Amino acid sequence: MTDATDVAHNPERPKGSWVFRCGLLLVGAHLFIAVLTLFWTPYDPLDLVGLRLEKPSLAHWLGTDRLGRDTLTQIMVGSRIAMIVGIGSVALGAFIGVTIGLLAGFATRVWDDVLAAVLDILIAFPVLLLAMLVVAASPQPSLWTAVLALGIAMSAIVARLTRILVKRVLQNDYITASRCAGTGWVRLVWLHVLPNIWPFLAVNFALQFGMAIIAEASLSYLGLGAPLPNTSWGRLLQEAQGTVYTSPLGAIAPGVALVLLVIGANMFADGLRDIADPTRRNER
Amino acid sequence: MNLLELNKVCFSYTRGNKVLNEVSFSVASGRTVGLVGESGSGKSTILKLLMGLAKPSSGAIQFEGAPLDIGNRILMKGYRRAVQPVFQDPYSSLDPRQKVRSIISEPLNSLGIADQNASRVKRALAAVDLPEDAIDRYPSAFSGGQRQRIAIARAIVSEPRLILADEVVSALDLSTQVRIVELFREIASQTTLLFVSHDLAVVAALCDEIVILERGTVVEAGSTRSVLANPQHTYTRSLLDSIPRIPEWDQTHDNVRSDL
Amino acid sequence: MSDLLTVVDLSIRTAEKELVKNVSFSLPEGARMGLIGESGSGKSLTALAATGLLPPAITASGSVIIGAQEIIGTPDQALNRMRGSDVAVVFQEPLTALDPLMKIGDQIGWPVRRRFRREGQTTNREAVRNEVLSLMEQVRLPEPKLMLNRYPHEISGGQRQRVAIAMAVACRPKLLIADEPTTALDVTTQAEVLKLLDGLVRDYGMSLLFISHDLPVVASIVDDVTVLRLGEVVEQGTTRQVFEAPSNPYSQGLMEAARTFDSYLQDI
Repeated sequence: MTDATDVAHNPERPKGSWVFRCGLLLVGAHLFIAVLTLFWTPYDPLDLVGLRLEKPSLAHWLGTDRLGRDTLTQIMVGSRIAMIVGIGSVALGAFIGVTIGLLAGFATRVWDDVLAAVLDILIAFPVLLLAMLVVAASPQPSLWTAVLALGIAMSAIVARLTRILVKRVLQNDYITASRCAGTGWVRLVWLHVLPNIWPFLAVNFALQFGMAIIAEASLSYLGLGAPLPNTSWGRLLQEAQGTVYTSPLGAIAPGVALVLLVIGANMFADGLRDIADPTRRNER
Repeated sequence: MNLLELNKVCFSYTRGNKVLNEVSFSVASGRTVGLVGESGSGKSTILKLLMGLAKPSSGAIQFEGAPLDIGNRILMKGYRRAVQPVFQDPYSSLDPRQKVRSIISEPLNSLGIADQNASRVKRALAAVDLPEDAIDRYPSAFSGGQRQRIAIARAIVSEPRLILADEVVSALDLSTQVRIVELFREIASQTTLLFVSHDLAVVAALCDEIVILERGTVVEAGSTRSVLANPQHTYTRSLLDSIPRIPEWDQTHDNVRSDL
Repeated sequence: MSDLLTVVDLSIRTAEKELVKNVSFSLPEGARMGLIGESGSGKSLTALAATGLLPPAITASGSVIIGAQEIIGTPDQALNRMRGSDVAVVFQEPLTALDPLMKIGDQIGWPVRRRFRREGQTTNREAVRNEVLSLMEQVRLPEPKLMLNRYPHEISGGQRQRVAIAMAVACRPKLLIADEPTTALDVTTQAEVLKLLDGLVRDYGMSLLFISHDLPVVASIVDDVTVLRLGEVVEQGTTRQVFEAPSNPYSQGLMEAARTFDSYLQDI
């Protein structure tokens, strides 16, 4: 019978795998550093605290950049930028996307078709391109333009996923039972639809978190990201480009930080998927 | 008095084809009526109309003498309290992320029946023979038969006057079927029941009256005993003849199959 | 008579638990055996293991021999040659068993062509088409010539199951495995399909392994039954023995339930 689909929704779920825990650790470490920079950093990120392009030393663990600023400090602050952009844009994308997706999922056939067509067109554009358009349209670049741009760009994917998930949930008899119990639409969404779709959405959000961080780094690298004093990893990479042969650490360090966070987010998503859908885990 | 009355009800989906063609029958208060038909007979559509999820293309449905109007919110609130469904698939009919307590109490909360909420839920659980500690568990902890009991508890918690049962035993194992049929016998003694099924044996076990549907038309209706003992319509007869029976082995020959 | 299908100590398990435990039974040539069980009894898994069609995450141990071929542990390619010539399967859900993008005539044409090649006959279009039409008549598909060009979604569930049966019979298998072949069908269609299966099995002298949870259906078509519960055999015997005088408490309960339903109708 339908046991398999049922297991997928088992709320008494098992603990996460080692993949999940690794992901959690990597993301958690970045989050810790990001919060830490609000209170303390080794140096002021914009102060010229040393000589130009210093090698790593006890005073400057990762050396200094071409103006003599401390690289470690800048990477730590970059962590904060990445977190703000990652969490902010995913939250914004989730808000817009889930709202549109729910509307489409419940809409009558004609409206659903229209929304689905619009979403398909939006999804056809790469996230980065859409984000660049939004940045170009905004009067002055700031950290929040980047968040806004990426959030809007990612919302179409969230909307389409939400729409499909909602449609699937709505086919269940417990929805009909709920309607026969006199439950209104809003309560029905809150009580039955959201709890049954969020595990799948959460996996998507974790993946998009990683995507958003890469996209933000790309925007900053292109000079479309947040302006100073935001030392985004993308900006650090771009600044280190000129000195990459003489002082490679300046380019490697922010790259490694970026890669670790994105891998962490992906591992976290992977582990989350296993928890949300144990049937997949059994297949391995 | 007739609790429920269908008068020349027709229904067609947007693209032509009549799914129901002048369906008329009535359900008297306190009786158990079996609605029998195979796939394509229109029995699911009748249920959809009776659950207030769609309205007939023409014809009228009357409940307690008043026409059913799904646009009238106040009237529908009373109707929903009085008419509750139980579905075929006990896996799809319970929200996997809700505890049994909130599943059963949903009609009470949504219909604004505030008084003695907890004790009503408790009584409903007892009526379907589930232990009290079931209330804090999720549906996944229960077998198919137990899940169907939870679904039945949800249907009876608002003390409805009419229960719509949609193929409620056909997804269950045989021995479980027997017990759920017994449970419905008890429920039928206390309320009115419209029992939709393709299985004549189950209908014969439960129902006072029977309505036979073929391709959207009522072909035969009457007391279960008279219809099944003396079927008038050829379709009823072929339904009866098609029921698989355990063969009677004769005394002398061992293990000879009676020919199909 | 020699045994066509021999199952010895068949166990089937996933990484987590054992689903079938030490099941043994044998089916002589031309015999009909029913596998009875409720959900979770392992009856369908046993049937899948017998054809080597188990999903990769599920492992089987023990022995299943069809003809002279050991199934367990034999690679898929070797089994492919056997499937069709020795054994064919009819599944519960005819819609998923048929290729949705292939016309009915072509679907039945495949196994026909395979058999012709095996038997060294010509596989020209005309010969295949004639055989397909004759098979369609045998399974009583209405208007075979029109039906040739229909797609699975254009015909009814009962007709789809007839197509699946025609495909199975087209190979002239020695053993036909029917896994809940009538469960998804309406009662009146079920009666017709059972009658059809019964006739075909008799006419072609096939052996039949019939899997079902529906006791009266099983009783009406097989001579011997094996009752499974939670992956274990609880009772084996002739249909009459098991239905009239079951010895195991579990099968007693099952028979009692089945007779209860029968009595509902008898009382009228």
